Amino acid sequence: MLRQLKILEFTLSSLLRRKYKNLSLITVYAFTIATLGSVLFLTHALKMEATGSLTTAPELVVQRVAAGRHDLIPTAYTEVISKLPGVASVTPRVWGYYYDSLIKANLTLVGISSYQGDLELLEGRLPDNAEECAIGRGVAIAFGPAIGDDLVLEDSGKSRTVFKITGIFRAESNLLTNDLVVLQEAALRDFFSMDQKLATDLVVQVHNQREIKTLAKKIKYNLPDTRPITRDEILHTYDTLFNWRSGMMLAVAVAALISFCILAWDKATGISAEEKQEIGVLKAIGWETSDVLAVKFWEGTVISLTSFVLGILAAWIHVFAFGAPALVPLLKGWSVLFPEFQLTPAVDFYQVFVLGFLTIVPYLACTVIPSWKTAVTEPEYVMRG
Amino acid sequence: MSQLIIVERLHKIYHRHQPDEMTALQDISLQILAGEVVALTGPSGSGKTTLLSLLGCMSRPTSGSIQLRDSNVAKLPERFLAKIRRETFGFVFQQYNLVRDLSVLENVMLPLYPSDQSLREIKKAATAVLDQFELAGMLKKKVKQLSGGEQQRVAIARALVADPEIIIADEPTAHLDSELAQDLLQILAVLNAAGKTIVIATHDPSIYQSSLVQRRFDLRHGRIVEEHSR
Repeated sequence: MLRQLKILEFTLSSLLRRKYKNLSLITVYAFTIATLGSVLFLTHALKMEATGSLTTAPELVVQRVAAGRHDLIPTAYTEVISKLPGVASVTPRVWGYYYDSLIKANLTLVGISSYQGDLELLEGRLPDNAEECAIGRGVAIAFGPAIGDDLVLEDSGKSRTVFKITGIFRAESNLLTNDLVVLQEAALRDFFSMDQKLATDLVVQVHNQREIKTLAKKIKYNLPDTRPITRDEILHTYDTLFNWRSGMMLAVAVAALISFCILAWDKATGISAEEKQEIGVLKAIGWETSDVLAVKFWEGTVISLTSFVLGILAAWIHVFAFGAPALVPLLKGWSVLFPEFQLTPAVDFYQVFVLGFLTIVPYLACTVIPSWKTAVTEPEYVMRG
Repeated sequence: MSQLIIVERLHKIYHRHQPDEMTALQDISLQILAGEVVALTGPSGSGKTTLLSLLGCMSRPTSGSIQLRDSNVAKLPERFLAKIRRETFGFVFQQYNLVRDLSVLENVMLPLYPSDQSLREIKKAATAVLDQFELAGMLKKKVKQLSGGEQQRVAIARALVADPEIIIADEPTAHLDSELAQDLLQILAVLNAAGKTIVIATHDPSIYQSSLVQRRFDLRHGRIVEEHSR
């Protein structure tokens, strides 16, 4: 123990002796970790936001498909579906998208009777007449209005409709509510000129969760122009979007390649003639091979751990304090029309551990192995100067 | 004086069974007594440094034995050789072989890091030996800032910090002027008077012809061709 402490002390002074080389190495290494960490943090946070918001989503949604595209569904389908064994209830939902050219963002307008889940308002209340609305935080930030102010929307006929804002949603539900404008259903139908006999989709509640897939098949059989979507299928879609099998895997592979390049560079430069001479001197004056390797091991550990901690810290700040400006255009391309939103910090520690393992261990190996080659050589050559 | 090192039928061949095979030492046999000052002389390439490195356990012979007191060090594993180098030998190299970016004190502390002593004890021992060589005023100076003579003294201090029984010195005056060479001889004389055994490889007559050297082995082409005793 005492011996290791003394060797650690020697290692730290060795690192300080080559401070400029080591600082540049730490900078490059930490940058790599920060890039990797940012990708992991961002994708995980997005996934958590997405999957978290789906916990209150309906178990089964039925859409109508016309010419391969989502179309409005007749409310009469409600009766057909309600008669299927196992169906508890069928509720038509009315919602739609609204593009605002002023803020260059896509908003989601939802009729209040179609409002599902237990999303909480940050302040205020939900609208209780056709001239009121509740809005997401992103909409509030984009337009700048507060409770009591007016929100002006322009319908397809170019006539402007004014809604008084009665509530703003909480930040925790950002992904679901950030772009949301909740109106009375009648007001929404009026705004979109939507027929009373049509709805955007139908929400189906079932008695037994295990029957969802069977019911989806039955709905499709009875109403061939529909597309039943289960909550699991939506979750699966999010998984495919964000998990290892998609962008993450690619990002990790690219970052691992960068890591490998650094290590290869470090290894290619190898240990200098000066370092070889130093190892020879240490061996000649009585250091054992294991002592020399311990110095190199501690050197590698200090460099890689410092870089890792700095990189992870930088990644955290980059993603959760600044909103990942370097990665958002790459990973959130589908949401460019959303108003800006702040990610809720969420970290998968298993991923961080894997990242640490994949970057620290190879670096340690690349530090120790070349030194080992020199350390096992007889120190006689030192005598020769 | 008792026999400290007994070398018998020592051979050293580099790059054995390879096209560039080179025989450095052939059939070397000698004895070194405790407290003796021995010089290995001969022209460049005669095998002085190779023999010195074998005696100092820094490499292994191809064949033959090196008896250090009771053990044949030629057969010992590297781990034990490191311990012997650390505890029994003090090395003064031709090029000093100091770690240039370390301070004077840190260089002298180096041999004691793997010992059982605490850092405080190591610092104390290093400071004491540096004090003997009038280097106490430059403990924190980097060795690259020192003159040749000062570096030589630091190298000797490092060789002595673990209080070794045997001093191995390879061409210790090669980079010193005659005045500094005389200073070094005086230091070696003091060490010998203190009971240290000294083995020097040199082709400097001011060393091997000095009264300090009691025996001299003259080497040519890896063989001892002559032994001079005083």
